[in-house]
Amino acid sequence: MKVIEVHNLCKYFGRFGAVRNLSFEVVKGEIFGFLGANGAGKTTAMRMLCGLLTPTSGKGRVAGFDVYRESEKIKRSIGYMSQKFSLYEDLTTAENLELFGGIYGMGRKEIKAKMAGVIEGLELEAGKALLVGSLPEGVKQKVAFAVSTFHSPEIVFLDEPTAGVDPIARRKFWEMIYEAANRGVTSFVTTHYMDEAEYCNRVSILVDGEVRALASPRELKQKFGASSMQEVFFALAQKAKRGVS
Amino acid sequence: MRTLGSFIKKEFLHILRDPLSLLMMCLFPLVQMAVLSYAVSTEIKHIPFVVMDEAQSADSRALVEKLRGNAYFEWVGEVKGPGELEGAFRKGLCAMGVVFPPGFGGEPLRGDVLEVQVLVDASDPNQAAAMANYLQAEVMDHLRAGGQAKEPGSGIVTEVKMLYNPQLLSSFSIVPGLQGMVLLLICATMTSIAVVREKELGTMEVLLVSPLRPRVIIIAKAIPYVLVSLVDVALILVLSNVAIGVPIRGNLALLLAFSLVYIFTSLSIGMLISTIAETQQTAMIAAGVGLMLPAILLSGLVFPVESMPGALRVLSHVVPARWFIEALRDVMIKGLGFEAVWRQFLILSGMCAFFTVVSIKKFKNKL
Repeated sequence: MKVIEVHNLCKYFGRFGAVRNLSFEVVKGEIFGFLGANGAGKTTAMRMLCGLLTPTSGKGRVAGFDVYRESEKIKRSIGYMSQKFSLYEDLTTAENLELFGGIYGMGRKEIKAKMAGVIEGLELEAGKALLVGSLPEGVKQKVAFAVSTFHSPEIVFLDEPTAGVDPIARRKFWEMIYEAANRGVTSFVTTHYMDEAEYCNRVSILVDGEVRALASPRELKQKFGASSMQEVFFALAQKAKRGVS
Repeated sequence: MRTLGSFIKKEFLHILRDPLSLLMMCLFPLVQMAVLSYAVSTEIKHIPFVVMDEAQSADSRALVEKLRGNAYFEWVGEVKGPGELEGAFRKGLCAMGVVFPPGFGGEPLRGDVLEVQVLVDASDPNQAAAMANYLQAEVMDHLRAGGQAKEPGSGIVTEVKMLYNPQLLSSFSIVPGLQGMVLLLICATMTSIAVVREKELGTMEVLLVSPLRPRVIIIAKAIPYVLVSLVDVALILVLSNVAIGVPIRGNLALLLAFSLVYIFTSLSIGMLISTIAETQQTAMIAAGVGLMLPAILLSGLVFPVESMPGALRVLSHVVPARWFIEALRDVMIKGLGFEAVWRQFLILSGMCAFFTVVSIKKFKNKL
């Protein structure tokens, strides 16, 4: 089942083509990696899929809804964890979960019923009354993921979710993504870490607003004769004309 | 509704977990009131004065005694001749000089008019006028006590009665003005900062991706500040009434209704600022310079609207604080009813509706 379908999706800011002719499909339960150097257009593409930006042209459906006309319905079916830390640091983990549960229209009983399981999964029973601001970075990231998937979205968009987190915490974070995938939650992930790209089922590499490669990590490595995703990425990103910093 | 409820709860938690801001919001009105009603008062006390007594009569001496005993005046000394008098002003020894011409005192015969010359330092015109008024009142009082002013032929005596505020206490006009300022500060500044903070922290992005509607975000942000504002209204009213003795002559319900409309107007302006400003600093400056300054200078709080130059007077029409303060003075101090202030009520309601619609429209649901 396809949960994301885009065909020739473009976004122009004035004459600048931030994203051009984006075409791909993502199926249910897939972990889809979305790579690209800074300025390649990753964030713009993701925002169009989340209903935050209206595309200039092309077609797109997310969770079965049209990106032009049904952005409100899309918003209800997805979860989102942003590049910047996206929790309220002056609230506790439980309060953050409650808040977003409420925002996504979950009932009080439903929230209560799911809360215990989530807190247990985070191994946060002892710290559930702590303000999120006082938790270690790695734990915050996990809490943010738990919050963004609390309302059982079909797709969760993760915009550089592990930026600034140590390797062990990152590893644990990816375990959470796999668990979610087993439950049928589709993950759409952008990342700068090439080892993480290896964890994805399929990876697309964006260069100058266009998709230059789209396949599983193994296929990509074969195609480019590379031993790691890092090499594949360099081979493509070096040809970039803009915004490589 | 559930969505709104959980969002409002979050806003309350933000305020409660930031005790410093909460304390500031409660203390600010009290500090402001203390400063404005005591320090920035237009009443004058201890005016240093000298006397040049060329009459040396019983009357002149009695009058000087009376002035020396008055808290408004402070006796500096006696000068001999115009040269010394001028010198005293030059050296800054006095702000007022009283000159009794030869022949002052005794019975005003042949329909003569008793003359006292008063010299006043008018470098501050308001203060000068007030000083002259005080002195005149003292002299009249003295003459009346001596029976002279009642003499036929001593001219027309105008008797001025100060309505609503017989002691001319500046706190009477300052308390309504203070309400106008404090509510503006809390509703406009604090709410705009509360919204912009989410933009800065990045949480706004998460809210925009969520199915929350802009109006829900705006309403939920506003409600806790409405409550804080109402607490402040109560604080100011009770304190000004009990501690400073400012009366509440009009209908309390009408007073609160006005406060509410004004609160909503300020909130809507705050929201408008937050839809435009990207950083907390910008929001603060926009609210501070764009709202507080007009609220202080163009609202009639410090300078009467009637005496403003034409262009500023026109400009004052778009300052919500002007209408609020005007109405509050009418209701609170004069005790007038709705029939006297319905115009201000309509204007404020109109402004409130306008800014609310604009800010909801401008609140971008997309980036």
